[in-house]
Amino acid sequence: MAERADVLVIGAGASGAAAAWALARAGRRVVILEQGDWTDPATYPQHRTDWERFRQTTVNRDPNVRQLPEDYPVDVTDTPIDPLMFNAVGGSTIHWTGHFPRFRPSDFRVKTLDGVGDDWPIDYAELEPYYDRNDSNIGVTGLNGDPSNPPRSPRPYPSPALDATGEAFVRGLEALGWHWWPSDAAYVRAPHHPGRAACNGCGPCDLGCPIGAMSSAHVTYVPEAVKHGARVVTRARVREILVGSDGKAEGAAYYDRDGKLQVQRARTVIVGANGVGTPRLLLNSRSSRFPTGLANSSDQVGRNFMFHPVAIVRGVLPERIDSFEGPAGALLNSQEFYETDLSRGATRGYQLQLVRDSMPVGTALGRGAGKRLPWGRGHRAAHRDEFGHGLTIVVMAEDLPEAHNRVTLSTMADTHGIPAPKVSYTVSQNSRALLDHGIASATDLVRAAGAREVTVDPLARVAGWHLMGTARMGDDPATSVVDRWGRAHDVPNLFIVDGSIFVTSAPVNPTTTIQALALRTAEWLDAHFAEVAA
Amino acid sequence: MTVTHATGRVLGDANLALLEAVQEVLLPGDDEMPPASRTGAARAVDAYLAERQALRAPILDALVAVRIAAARRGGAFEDLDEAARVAILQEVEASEPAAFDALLVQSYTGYYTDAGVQGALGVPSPLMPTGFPRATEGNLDPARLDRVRATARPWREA
Ligand SMILES: Cc1cc2nc3c(=O)[nH]c(=O)nc-3n(C[C@H](O)[C@H](O)[C@H](O)COP(=O)(O)OP(=O)(O)OC[C@H]3O[C@@H](n4cnc5c(N)ncnc54)[C@H](O)[C@@H]3O)c2cc1C
Repeated sequence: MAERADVLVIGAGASGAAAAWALARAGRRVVILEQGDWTDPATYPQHRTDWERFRQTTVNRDPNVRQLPEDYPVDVTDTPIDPLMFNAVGGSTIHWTGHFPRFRPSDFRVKTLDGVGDDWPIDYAELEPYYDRNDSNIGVTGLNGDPSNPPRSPRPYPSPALDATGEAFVRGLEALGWHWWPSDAAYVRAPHHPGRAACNGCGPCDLGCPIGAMSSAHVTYVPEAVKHGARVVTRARVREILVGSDGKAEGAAYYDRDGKLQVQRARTVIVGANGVGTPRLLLNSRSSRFPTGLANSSDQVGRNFMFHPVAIVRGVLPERIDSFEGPAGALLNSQEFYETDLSRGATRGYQLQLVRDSMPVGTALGRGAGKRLPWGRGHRAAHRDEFGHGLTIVVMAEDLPEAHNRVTLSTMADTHGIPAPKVSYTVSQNSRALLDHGIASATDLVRAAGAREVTVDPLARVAGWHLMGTARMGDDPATSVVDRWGRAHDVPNLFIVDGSIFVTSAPVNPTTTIQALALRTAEWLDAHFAEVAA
Repeated sequence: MTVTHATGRVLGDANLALLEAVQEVLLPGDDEMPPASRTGAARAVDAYLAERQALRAPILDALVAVRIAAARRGGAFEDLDEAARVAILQEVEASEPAAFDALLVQSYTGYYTDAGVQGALGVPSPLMPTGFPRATEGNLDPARLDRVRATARPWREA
């Protein structure tokens, strides 16, 4: 049996890696159990001619398409949006596009300000130092001074000059007089840690960054955690968290790469398995003491599941601007429609994320909101008119927590026979109204930029990038799963650090907030370790 | 992440020749771009079939449907004139939409991942190590945002 760890971290993604780094650096003996493997950026598809086909196979963002041994199936029979993730050291940040906007102060006070959802038990000011620390730890590119957000520490790397795509978007934004700002983006513009080169704008960040420029967890926190003594056990799929007779977590039972059941003992346990993987694990960790799943006395585990529902709007310009060049998802954003304005027919708001357009195969297939190009004699002309001409806008609506949107256990199972998660989700009327307003706004924007044609995907199915809310944070153990420090109300030495603990979702990408919360929890745990682990 | 080169063979010579003829109609090329037959598109699709079992049934179904439709017209697809070939593919697209779609998706994929096609489109092949450095060059002039600074709604205090 392996040595007892001070801290067992389950999941080596954005959140688990950040927490593991902070605790290893503080001198704690950290073990990370990760169901996936290490991946080597030097072997990523962009080094090959046929790189674009891997979107359809082993590097697809949907585990149900990839079906790799390290993936678990997700039952999606009851959701119009597919949850997306990657299971490897680095987790879903291997696939992400590094768009890194922070929550605003109002996002922590949704109930007070707008009478919907719930307030967080913490506020922006409490999280701010951890946002800053995280940015400098992992390397973020951006421009200070956005008047629509609180000031923040100097950005580690400056935003690049506008390329032709940026200029086209700005033409429309300036014509409309809307807010825009270069996105904070989690990539580096100069060599950062060893093995991380400056971004060369190759484009498909979602296939993994082949030079480590993207600030994904496997090139940021995980190697640093290892340097500080953390042990990473890969192809280790946790079956359940083990609880002792005193009601405290004792460690976890996991299947190793040979399929053998092993036990890792630990004085404290941190879960960072993402907004679907974490409720799955808690619900699978049933015992006589916790018959409805671990840390679930409130019946909130798995409930309040939030995506960011997404619509995609694409305008086609008459001229080719090579809009496929550059980091795919992290260019500009407009927060013109961020805060509540009831005249829009909905409460809360949405972000317009202005992104890069498709590469050759994606253009032909009509990826995003594009249209499938015709075959035959007209094909070439159609491709010529579309390729490099597209302006793509992701309309990302804030989703509100609703108890019936939830993760439960499915009758499906993974390769180890562990019940798979089932996602049951409907798009609320409010989210739909936000998306509809956003579609109209984004259409105005691409038209103002000069688009001659506009196509829309009103609800993108393959867009469940953000998984939140399924073990929410709160002061009241009757209505929440973890407290303000991410500590389970029911199990005093169990912590959750991923997007599960979000109370509300804000209309922006979640990972900077996830990592700030993880660093904050880790710091608190270190400071209170003796008491928590006693 | 498993990233292997697709090299296998599933299609026999006759099916490969038929696939080439079908792709010639799907992607005929023009002054700037090669026709599919001058690229590795058919062999690429064959290799995908070797790698992904789930693709085999629909694509073989589509090829069979093409053969039957041609036989109904009294010949082999490869021997028909262009108008007849187009008519056959339209027929199969309508009668076997899922199978035809699989054939089309993989044909587009094989064609646009060909180095010659990528080169003609101005895309480095492979993307690395060149990338598109001009997309991340220089620094954004903060003065570009003067209007936003002056007019944007501030965040709500909470
Ligand atoms: C295509 C795509 C694009 C995205 N783009 C952005 C973006 O631009 N900006 C942004 O902010 N966010 C983006 N995201 C979301 C971002 O990746 C996630 O928010 C972030 O990775 C979540 O971190 P996490 O630690 O909660 O989970 P993950 O990063 O998903 O990590 C969870 C880890 O836990 C492991 N695990 C799960 N269950 C078990 C188990 N039982 N045993 C052992 N290990 C287990 C998994 O293998 C995985 O490695 C994107 C996501 C995708 C898929």
